[in-house]
This record gives sequence, structure tokens and C-alpha cells, in this order.
Amino acid sequence: MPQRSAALPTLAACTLVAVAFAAALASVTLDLSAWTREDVRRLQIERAPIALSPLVMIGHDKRALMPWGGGTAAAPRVGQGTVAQVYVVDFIYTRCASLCVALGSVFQRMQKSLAERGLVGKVALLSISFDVAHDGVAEAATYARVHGAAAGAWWVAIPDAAGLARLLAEAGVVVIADGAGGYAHNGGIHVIDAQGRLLRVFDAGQYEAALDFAASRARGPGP
Amino acid sequence: MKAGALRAIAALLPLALLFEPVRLFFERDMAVHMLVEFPLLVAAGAAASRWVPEAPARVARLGDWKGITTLLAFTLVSAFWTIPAALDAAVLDPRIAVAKYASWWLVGLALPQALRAAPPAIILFFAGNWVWMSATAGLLYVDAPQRLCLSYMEDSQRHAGAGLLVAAVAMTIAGFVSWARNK
Repeated sequence: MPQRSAALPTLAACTLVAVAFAAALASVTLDLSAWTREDVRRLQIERAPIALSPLVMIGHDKRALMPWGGGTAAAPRVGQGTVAQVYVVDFIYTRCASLCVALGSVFQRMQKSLAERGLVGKVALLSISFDVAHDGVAEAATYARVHGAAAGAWWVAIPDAAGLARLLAEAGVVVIADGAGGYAHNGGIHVIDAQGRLLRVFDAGQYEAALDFAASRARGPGP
Repeated sequence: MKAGALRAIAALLPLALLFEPVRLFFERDMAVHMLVEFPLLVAAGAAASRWVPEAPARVARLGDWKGITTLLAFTLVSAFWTIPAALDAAVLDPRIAVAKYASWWLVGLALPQALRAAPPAIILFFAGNWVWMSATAGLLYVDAPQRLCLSYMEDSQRHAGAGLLVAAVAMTIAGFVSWARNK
């Protein structure tokens, strides 16, 4: 076969391969904007908030808590129901000695700031344990006491296993065993409104920005 | 007969990955995922290449002059699955996982014929590109100050990076040995 007639189909095939690669690359990196799954998740949330299913949990105060999505015929209000307009949420497990402790300190500072800015009742802090096999109300209460969680401002809550699995899947939170008896997970500070829309995810170090954003989304006198 | 049976089993390896325990075995650790599963998928495709009927093989050869299309596909597939977001997606999303199995297997299917058709200079060109690309990715994985994949711990990430560096060095040595033999 003459060389030119063999090269042309190859050029076409190479073009197809390159186009397929470019399309896959654009899809998985959001047009080259994010190179890790966590960055992709945060960007997707920023562009289009994720609707979370209603979630019933037990708070460290032993009362049922349904922070978002309740009050409708399909998902009637449970326990304390909606306690704020916007929630600043982190995912923790009470045995954690590293990231969760750091997040606990960050939440302490945010709690103080919430009180100073008169946002208690509009913006609530919520620490959700994903270690439901170990953490119960007693562990949540200890975590709340150790970190100085104030009543009406900061809840430490335990969902049931099914609710937790659904929440993690919907929010894109991945929890893996760290090989030392604990867990690693994509943490950060999640801002969720009372309708259950996950609006934004911030790094723990950006807690002031997270609080400002949550405050900007909290309008009116109360929940 | 025995070799044929082994080849058939090897060719069908990707189907075994559809079973969760097998998948977890190969994908629980980042280094095993990248340095064992990927080559095995290519080997599975290569094992299946013997059974490609002549008619479609002839058509495929028309678009693969001197193996260039296959070698380009091999390079791009390698590049794509070293991107942390893609690797994570393949672990977390079954649809992406199937795309990953298919892409490596198909590249493996075409590779034996491409390597037979490609002159040493073209093989050296693509191998050289693969070496620097893999070494760069390996260095990034080794040096990254934090987890790049949600599915893997830092240790696993560093091992995968070191493995990619070793693979890049091995490919370089293999290239020189092959060049010296053909000289």
C-alpha cells in the first residue's frame, strides 16, 4: 500500500483518539479547572448546590434533630426540627486525635464569632459523626463538652447508618480507614441551608469566610 | 491447549474485576491499582488479540500505520489514569471504572500488532514520552504534601509514586537494551 494512503486513515484515527482523550479530560477535570476529586466536588457544589435528603439525627442533648428538609408532607418535622436558617457543618468521629480536634477548635472560634455577631438562632454549627458504630449520644455529649459546644449554637449529632450513608454519598464525602484504627476523610466546612442545599465547602483554615458566607445566606429573624 | 486456556483466562481478567472482592483486592492500594491492575489489563487485552478475526484486524491496521495510533492511545490512556481526579473517579464511580477497564484492555488488544508494525524510532519516541510522563507523575505523587486521591492514604500515594519512578527507569533500561540489540 502506498505510504500516503496508509497515513491518512492513521491521521484520522489519531485525531479521533486525541479528541476522545480531550473530551474525557475536560469531563473529569471540569475543563481543566480541578485535578483532584475534592477540588472537582467543591467546584461542582459552587456551580450548582447539591440537594441533600432530609436527615434525622440524635443530638448530643439526646433530642432528635432534623436540621434540613423537614416540615413537608413527604418529610414531616421531627424533634427540634429546623433550628437555624443555615448550618455550618463538619464531619467528625469522636476518637479522632488530629483533624477533628483541629476542626473542634475552629468550631469553638466560630461559635464565639456567631455570638458576637448576633447570629445564634440563624446560623447553627453542626458536627456530624460518621463513626456510627462507635459514637453514640454519650460520646457526642463528651465531644460537645470537651469543645465547649453551647446549647442552641452548636450540635454534635449522630445519624443512623442508612441516613449517614445517604448523606455521605450525596455530599461526596469519602471516608476510608487510615490503617491505624481511625479514618481519613475529605473534611472541610460545609455550608448547608434549611432546605438541605449544600451551598459551599471551605477549608478549615477559611472558617471566617465560611461564617461570612453562612451569615450572608441567613436572612430574617429566625428559622 | 493448556497455554490456550491460560490465555483465555488472562483475556477475560477484566470480567473478574466486576466482582467486588476482586476489585477491592486490586484497587484498595494505590500502588497495586496503578502498577499491577493497569499492566494486567493491558496484558489481558494482549492475550485476547490472538482471537481478533482477520477482517476487523485488517480494518484496524489501516488506521494504525506503523502502530502510531495504538502507541498514541497507550500514551494518552496512561496519562489520563494518572490524573488524581480520574483515578478517584474510577474507584468511586462504577461507570468510570468500566471505562478504565475498557480503555486499558482495548489498548492491550491493539498493542502486539502495533509493536510488530512500529519501527524502533517510533517505539523509542513514544517510550521516551511515556518515561518522562510517568516519572513526572511519580515525582508529583511522592512529593505531594497532602492526599491527592480521596480513596487513598498518603503512604499508598507515595508508594504509587515511587513505583511509577521505578517503572520509568525500567522502561528506560529496556529501551537501551532493545536499542543495543538492534544496533
